[in-house]
Amino acid sequence: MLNTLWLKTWRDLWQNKGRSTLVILSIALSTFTLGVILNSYAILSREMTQDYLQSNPTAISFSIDKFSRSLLTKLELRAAIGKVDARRTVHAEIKTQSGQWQNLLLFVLNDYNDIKLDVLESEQGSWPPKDGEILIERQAMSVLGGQINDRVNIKTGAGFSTQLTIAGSTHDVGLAQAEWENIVYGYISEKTLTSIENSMGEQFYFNQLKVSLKDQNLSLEQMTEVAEGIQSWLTEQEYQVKRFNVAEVGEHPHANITGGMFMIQKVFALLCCLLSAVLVFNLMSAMLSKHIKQIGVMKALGASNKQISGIYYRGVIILGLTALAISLPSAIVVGNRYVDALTPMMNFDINSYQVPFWILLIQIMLGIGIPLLSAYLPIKKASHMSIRETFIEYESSDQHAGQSWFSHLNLKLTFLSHPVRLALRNCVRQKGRFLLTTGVLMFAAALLMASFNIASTMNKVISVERESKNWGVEVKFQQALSDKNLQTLLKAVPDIIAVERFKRIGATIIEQDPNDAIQQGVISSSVNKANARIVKLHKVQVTLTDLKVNSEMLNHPLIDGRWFDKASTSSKINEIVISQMVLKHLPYLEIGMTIDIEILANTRPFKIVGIVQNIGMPSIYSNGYFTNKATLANGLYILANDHSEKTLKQLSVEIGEAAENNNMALSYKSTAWDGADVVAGHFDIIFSLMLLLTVIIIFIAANGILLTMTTNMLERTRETGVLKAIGASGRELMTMIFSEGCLMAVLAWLFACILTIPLSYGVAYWLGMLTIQTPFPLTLEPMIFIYTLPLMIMVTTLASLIPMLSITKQPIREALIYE
Amino acid sequence: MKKIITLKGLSKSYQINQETFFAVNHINLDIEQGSFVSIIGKSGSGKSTLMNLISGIDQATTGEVIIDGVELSQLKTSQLDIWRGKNIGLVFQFFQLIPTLTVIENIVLAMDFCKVIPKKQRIERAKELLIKVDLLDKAQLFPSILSGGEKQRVAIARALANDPPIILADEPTGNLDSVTAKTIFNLFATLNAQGKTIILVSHDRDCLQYTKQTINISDGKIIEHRHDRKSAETETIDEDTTNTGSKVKGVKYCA
Repeated sequence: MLNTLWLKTWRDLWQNKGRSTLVILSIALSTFTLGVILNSYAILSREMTQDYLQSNPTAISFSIDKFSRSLLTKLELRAAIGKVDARRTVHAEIKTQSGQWQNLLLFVLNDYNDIKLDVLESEQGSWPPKDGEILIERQAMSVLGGQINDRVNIKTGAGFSTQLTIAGSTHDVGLAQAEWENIVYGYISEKTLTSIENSMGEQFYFNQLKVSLKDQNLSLEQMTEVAEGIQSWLTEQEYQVKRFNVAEVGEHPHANITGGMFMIQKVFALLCCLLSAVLVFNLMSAMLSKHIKQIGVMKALGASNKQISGIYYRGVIILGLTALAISLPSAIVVGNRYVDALTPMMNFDINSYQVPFWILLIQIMLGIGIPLLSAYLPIKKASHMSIRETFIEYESSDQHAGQSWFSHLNLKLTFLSHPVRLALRNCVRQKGRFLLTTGVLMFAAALLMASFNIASTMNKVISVERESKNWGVEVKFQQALSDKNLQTLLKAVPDIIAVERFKRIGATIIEQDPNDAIQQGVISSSVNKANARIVKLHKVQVTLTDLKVNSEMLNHPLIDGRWFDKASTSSKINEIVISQMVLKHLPYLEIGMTIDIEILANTRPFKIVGIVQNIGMPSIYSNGYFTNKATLANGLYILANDHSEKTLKQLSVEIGEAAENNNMALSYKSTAWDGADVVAGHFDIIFSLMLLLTVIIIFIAANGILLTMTTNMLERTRETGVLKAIGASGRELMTMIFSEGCLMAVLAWLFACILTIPLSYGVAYWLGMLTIQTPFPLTLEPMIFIYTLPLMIMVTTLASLIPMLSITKQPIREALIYE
Repeated sequence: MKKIITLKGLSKSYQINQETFFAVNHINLDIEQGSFVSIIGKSGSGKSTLMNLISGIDQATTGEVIIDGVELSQLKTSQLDIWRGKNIGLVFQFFQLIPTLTVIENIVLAMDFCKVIPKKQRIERAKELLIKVDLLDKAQLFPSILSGGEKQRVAIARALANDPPIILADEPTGNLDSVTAKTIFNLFATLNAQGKTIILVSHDRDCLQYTKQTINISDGKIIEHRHDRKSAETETIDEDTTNTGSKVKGVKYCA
């Protein structure tokens, strides 16, 4: 025979099998959610790093004006350097399947058959690219919409164009995701580029120097010192080093954002675990309150506190293990599918789906540990009671009934029917249980509202982004736009009602040592020396858009400072407005600072007058720096009568056709809706995940209500029998239970309305900082506050159905003899 | 005969509305090994409180409970629970069997708690005890389907599980019909004949036919202590000595 202590544990759980099942389901669901997230994160972060490390990632990359292969041989001889490699990058455009010109970043590798750093893998088709061929990065294939052997048109930024054959696809793990960046990455041979640019008669050169270090254990600061040494040496050798970038050793460039996105999921999953712990607490409290006399008897038989608590802890362990038996394997299976769904977006390969043992151990520890912790107090309280207390507790559990302030208040609610008033009083008979159950429901409601508030916030951010563009279509030409060309375009597309020129060009913010800036008094002294080091690691390439004086085409929300005004034109120093994304790389920048910006090989000072919110790449805006001379402008903001998405997209196509027919080379064109659509897609994923996790939490909350209602009804079986005996109808009893559920729902909703505001604010702040480096301004969704109340009432009513039916069907005789 | 239970100046009082209420009031008592004692009295007289003090379930406000040389107040609560399991078998009015365990499991549970009986012998011992209470055929049944008398016999078997020298039974027949009660009293008499010290709290005067001593309690005081039913020798308490210690004087009692 099994040890009787184990037998008692097992039979107690079996006797409460309905409630035990609810608790198991809740623990299983929460550990499953946590498991899916932890497993997939462990696999993704490991595989991302491994895939990245397999490519021999560059430690330091230098952007140099021009250099030849001979530099590589010289560099290899330097003591600290491990491997060196070179690339040429060329900004170009490629015509997509839909006929649109798409941004293209062309790479020419030093030796396709001996790539030393940032190694590419051939995916499909031939390798290496022969003359007249191009390889497309595998994720960029979908951006391009092409297939192997397709002929594609290419135009370089310098204005040369050609047709190339797509020879295959490659995998370049270290690049930003093509779909997210909406860019195509292409790889061509040295000869192909030379033949494209042959009219220049210039010898081929590289402009990207990649270096790895012999010592893999250097800190970021030490690597920077090495990089500065190489930079000095290169300058001595008369190479023009534009900038260098030091990479975190072994960390994929997107590891931070992936970690950040998983963080919110982990928080939600942990919350699920904590809420399911409340259910365990309620179950154990309910079970123990019914077992108090048994505990007294067991003590009278000689049981120690340890033996008594052991009986109930074993029960909790059984619940946890049963839940884990369900959740662990299913979390592995679903986690793998989640990984499969995410990897195409992140552009790396999964070699192994093996979940690290310690991750499983965490799930086991949480699956058992959290229920054990939550059961600790009720078990300790019950097992440490003296025999006398157990008998007193058993006989006087309701001796204070009717003495609370709530009961007194209840007496005054004479407008309510007696069953309803009785129900309200019943609710608070087990205050702890009532508060915990209502608390879980409150969290569920608050999270639901927060999910919709975040969705509303994200929609608002997108809408602000759309509204920040007063133009309908934006067109950038490969060359400066002459008046003649402009007139031709306006004639060809009659729907255009107005245009405004702008100049868009790549620029580099030349970093300053913040310590110097402090001495100048332009940076707050809170910027510490440590930051000075970090700043030097991130030279920032930005997009400079030079607007016409008094332009009203852009309406980005101001975070700090001001937009250009009349004073700007008379200012001695050129003013710029920067996007908050610049601060991500140069956090020390402040309003009033003067910074050097390199534009077309000239460095000039600019004074920061404003910081604006702008989704996308780091951008800066100047005021008439180029556009005071119309012939320097290379872009047009175009206005149409109708700002609808359909009209603007049609207008964009017409402009593209008109430009092509008139031999006007476009770099790119976009409508005011384009960028926001991509962002909206990403935000939809975040919202869907939040909503899914919220639904899980609502399910756990519903389980909690069902558990509480069932427990309450069981405890009041005899009382209900008496009510029936004195004439209470089934309908009145059902009204009582429904009223109890309603009270919980209303209270949970009321407090959730308050809780959801800081919760939504926190998530909006965090998401904003993660994605656009500035908190999202919270936008509340008023309707969700209204809809949540009936939803909560519906959840509590559904959860109360089982106890409602069972109590009305129970014969009076059985109810009266119930012990 | 060896004294197995000694009560010295035992009192249990409660503060109710700033007044002191004595549930047990300065009781001195010696009970010898092998005694069969009934404690009788009206409802609220203090007999159950006295029983609880003897078993260590309740703690005295003043005075001492010494059982087989062990002063109970010297034991910590956790030690007391374990000591009780080994030395005292308790039988309750409402049987208090664990409903989720079978008859035999209820008996083994007591042995599993105290670990006095070697593990391998527990089942056999439980069966022997069930034979003793004539319930072996019900060993695998759950308590819910037993009759009241059967439940109480299981409870007695459970009380004997760790072979304690003392059995304390609080209203063991309070929930049984007279025929069944007679069976239970007979069972106690048999156990007493086998050497167990048995103390019964009862308001059922039928028990007097079986017990060898009767203690009559009223307002927390022993008002009558009758030794040996057959000799009909009765001790009554001198009213004058109530607050300074009970002085027993011999009074002839005719049943």
